[in-house]
Amino acid sequence: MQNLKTIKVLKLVAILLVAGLAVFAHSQRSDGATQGQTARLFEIAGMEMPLEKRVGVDDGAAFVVHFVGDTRGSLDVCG
Amino acid sequence: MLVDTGYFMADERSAHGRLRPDIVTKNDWVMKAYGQFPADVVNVSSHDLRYFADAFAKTEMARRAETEPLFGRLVSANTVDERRGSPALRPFLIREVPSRQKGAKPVRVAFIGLTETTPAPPAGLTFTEPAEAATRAVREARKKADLVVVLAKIGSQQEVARIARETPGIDVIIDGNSVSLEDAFTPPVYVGQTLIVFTPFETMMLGELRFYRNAQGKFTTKQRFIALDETSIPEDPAAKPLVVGATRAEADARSNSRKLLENWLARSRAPVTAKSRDRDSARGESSPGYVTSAACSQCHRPQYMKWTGSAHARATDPLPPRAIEFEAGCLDCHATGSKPASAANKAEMALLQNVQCEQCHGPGSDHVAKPAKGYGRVANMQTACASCHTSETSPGFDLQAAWGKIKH
Repeated sequence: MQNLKTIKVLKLVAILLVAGLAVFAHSQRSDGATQGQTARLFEIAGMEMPLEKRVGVDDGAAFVVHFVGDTRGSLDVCG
Repeated sequence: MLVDTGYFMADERSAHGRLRPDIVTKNDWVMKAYGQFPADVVNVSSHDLRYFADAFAKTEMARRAETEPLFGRLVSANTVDERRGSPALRPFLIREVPSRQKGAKPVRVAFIGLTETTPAPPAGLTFTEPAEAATRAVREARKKADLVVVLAKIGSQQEVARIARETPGIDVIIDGNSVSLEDAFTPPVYVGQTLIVFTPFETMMLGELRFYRNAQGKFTTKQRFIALDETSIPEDPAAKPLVVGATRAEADARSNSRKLLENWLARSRAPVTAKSRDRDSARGESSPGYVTSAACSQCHRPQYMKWTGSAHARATDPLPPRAIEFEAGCLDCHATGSKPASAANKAEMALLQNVQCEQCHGPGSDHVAKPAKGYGRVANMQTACASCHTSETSPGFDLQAAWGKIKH
């Protein structure tokens, strides 16, 4: 149980670290990006946020596409 | 909308490259799950094709789409039916999204599928170069859609970037390239005007693309990734039976394979004797007329000695360590005396362990009862050996070299 918790914390730290680096890297180079498309290229609604905040609010988007991949036959609960 | 970039089926294979029985069971449950919780469009990975291979072979896609909605939602622009020379699946699907502005036309989004070219596809299918296939599909899709989104399962980020560079007209590529925790998250990038986003590792996060339409009708996007974890996301009572059922069915499939092998080993271990044949005959059980190599050795001692040193004499040995992937069909080549099903009879499992003399020379009971020349001649060695030594089971099999080892 403790191990699982540690793995989860490590996963979260890894995600936040990579995300932070990516945001930093993007702020250093914007060549090739569609002009004025996004101030921030992406955002991560992480585990530190309650679920309803992660889902976000209706901000007038025309539509939303959710995407997943590489589930490899797993019906297990994970994340 | 929910879309899937592919590799949604398990692909653990048996020693000879077939999907293991427990994995087929697992995938059957994935099909049930997609029936209950459907995705709008699903790209097919080369891993997924293994499970669908039978459906392709029987050209059952349209028929199955009527009862299994997933079949009607699969896309791949570069998976080609070798015989017909045309795409085996739909290259793209168009989904219409009602506009939120009164009176405005719905937004038409084309989703094109692109499949990675390794591992190799099942027999009868081939892959074409993804960028070329994408170019053709984009040309068609652009005529019918306001936005073109590519769902890709492509090996590397460089390869995806190349496709974006070489294929004008793609608005977004969603690529599933995270197959390990090490590359759990890959940030989105732009290549020219094409946005490339990558699926996070397995179901660690849900990717989200929000599309906004400005006054000029042009689209911009916002990319979000929503962390998923079982502690804060409540259990869905409708999903639980699928999870429980799949786990149980998979374990049962493994257990059944193991039991089937154990039972066969217990039943087949004893050599067939005249006494056991009489007993089986009295019970009305079929008498295959096999006498075992031990009986052959009474007269053919040198040939028997040669056989005892060959891999044929140990052909059953690889089965117990792989008990969870055992199927009756394994005995066709790892044992002696299997009888395939015919119009009149059910298939019969082999009675003798290992590949004994009679697997190639035929049942020997008549010959033992009345020894004479003419018994057991192998008419065509190439055909006889090739029935088991296929490119799948014996890659690189060299008949002459193999015969040199067992010549008798």
